[in-house]
Amino acid sequence: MPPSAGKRGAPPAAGGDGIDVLPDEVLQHILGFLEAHESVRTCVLARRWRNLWKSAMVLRILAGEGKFLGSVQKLCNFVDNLLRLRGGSPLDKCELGFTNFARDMSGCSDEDEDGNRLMRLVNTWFWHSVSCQVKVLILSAYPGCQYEPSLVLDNRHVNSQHLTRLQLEGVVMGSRFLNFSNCPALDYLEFGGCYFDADDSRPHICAPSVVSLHLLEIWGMIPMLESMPSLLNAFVIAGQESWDTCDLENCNCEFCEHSYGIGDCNGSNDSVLLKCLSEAKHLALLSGLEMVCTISFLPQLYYVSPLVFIFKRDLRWCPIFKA
Amino acid sequence: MASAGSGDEKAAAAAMITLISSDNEKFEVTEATATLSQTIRHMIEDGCTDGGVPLPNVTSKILARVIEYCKKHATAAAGEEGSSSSFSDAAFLEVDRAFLEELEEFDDAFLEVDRATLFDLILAANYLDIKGLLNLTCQKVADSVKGKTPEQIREMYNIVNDLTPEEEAEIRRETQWAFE
Repeated sequence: MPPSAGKRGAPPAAGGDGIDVLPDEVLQHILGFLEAHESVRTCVLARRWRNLWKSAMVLRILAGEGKFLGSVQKLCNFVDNLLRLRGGSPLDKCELGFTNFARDMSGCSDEDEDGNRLMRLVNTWFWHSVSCQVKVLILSAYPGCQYEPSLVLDNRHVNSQHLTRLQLEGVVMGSRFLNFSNCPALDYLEFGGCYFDADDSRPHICAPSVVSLHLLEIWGMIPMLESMPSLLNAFVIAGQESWDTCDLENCNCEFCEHSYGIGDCNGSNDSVLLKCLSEAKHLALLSGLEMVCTISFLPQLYYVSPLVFIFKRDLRWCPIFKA
Repeated sequence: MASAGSGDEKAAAAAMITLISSDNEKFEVTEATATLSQTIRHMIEDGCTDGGVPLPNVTSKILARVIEYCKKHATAAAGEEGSSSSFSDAAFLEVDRAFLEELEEFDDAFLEVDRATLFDLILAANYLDIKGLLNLTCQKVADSVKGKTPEQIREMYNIVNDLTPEEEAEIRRETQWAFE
């Protein structure tokens, strides 16, 4: 509804409690706390607001669960238009959240164009935000508990001088993606409910600048961690669906049938986790939802069965932790 | 002179900073409290805080509130650092949670202000570059416009629509995909 003609052209309320007292950069900061559709809709408030949303430094696109943009087609249309209009404006933070992504995808048959389009577009949005010099990037494709992660990210290196924090949930990644050596500023890395696809060999994570590492509820094989000299905090929860779970309490897992090629593929018998993590100041390893051990400088170990055999094996490997 | 934080332990005279509001009221605060403001942190680093830091954009009423926020959160920051040494068992999760809850309660109570004060706090947080306070106050504004129509937002925040009907129609055409 347009305002009455008498109001038009009136000067903004000066020094009162009108929001116009705030400078553009602050208004853009406020827009960053809104979800994308609400942020865009402020463009009709007044002339000053017309383009503010386009240069807001935070982008939050959250879809699913019957919230806005229920259909895949609407969602794709929305994000395509949004990115076209905002162009390459730099981003501090980008949050892409799709609840029930797996269900949406499973509703699309293989040759279904919507499903393919969604997968392709999520990749476009992800890599576009990297090219917008994003510092904090969160991609959550929460699959719903009975589904495997199904959002596959392009298997290529992330190249960014700006990225400091990367959080991925319900995502499938290949070995090339897991090499973050071209992200010198990356200090926080979190994978939740992800699957690392490394052609049946144990995947490697290379993230030399990471200070805080979170591996939560990992599907498939727990990855091998390459040297992380800056690591201070590590938090590892193996999860029920990890292939590295062994239910046998006294099993010598290096040789049991559950052993999916411990060590790297060159037959080296290195510790999968603790060699790298042993330098961490704060370390918590949890199997399932129960705590296996937390380790500080003076480690206290709590063993809870069933243990994840990698943890058992790694703790044997590393006598310093045998408290 | 409103003296703040004079009872703090280890508050040696050298580590105190005097802040001067636009209405010339003086506030003495610890360096730890003052340096939550990046603007003041840079002044301290440049050695230009002798004789007090004049803040011509901030009234005493608002500065008192800002200092209240900084004192609480500076203590929180110090507590967090201190607690890391006791990170030896599962209890650390509980400690952290209680700590964060207390801080959250403080923040909620802190935001119980009228709209004009809220905007003044935002302006002060922006000028003093206090990230936590800026986020807290801007989040409050954002929360208040969630789910509102443009007309409701205009009314709530005294925004005068200076778009001609033709302009508004054009903008709506351009962004139709966001209104579906």
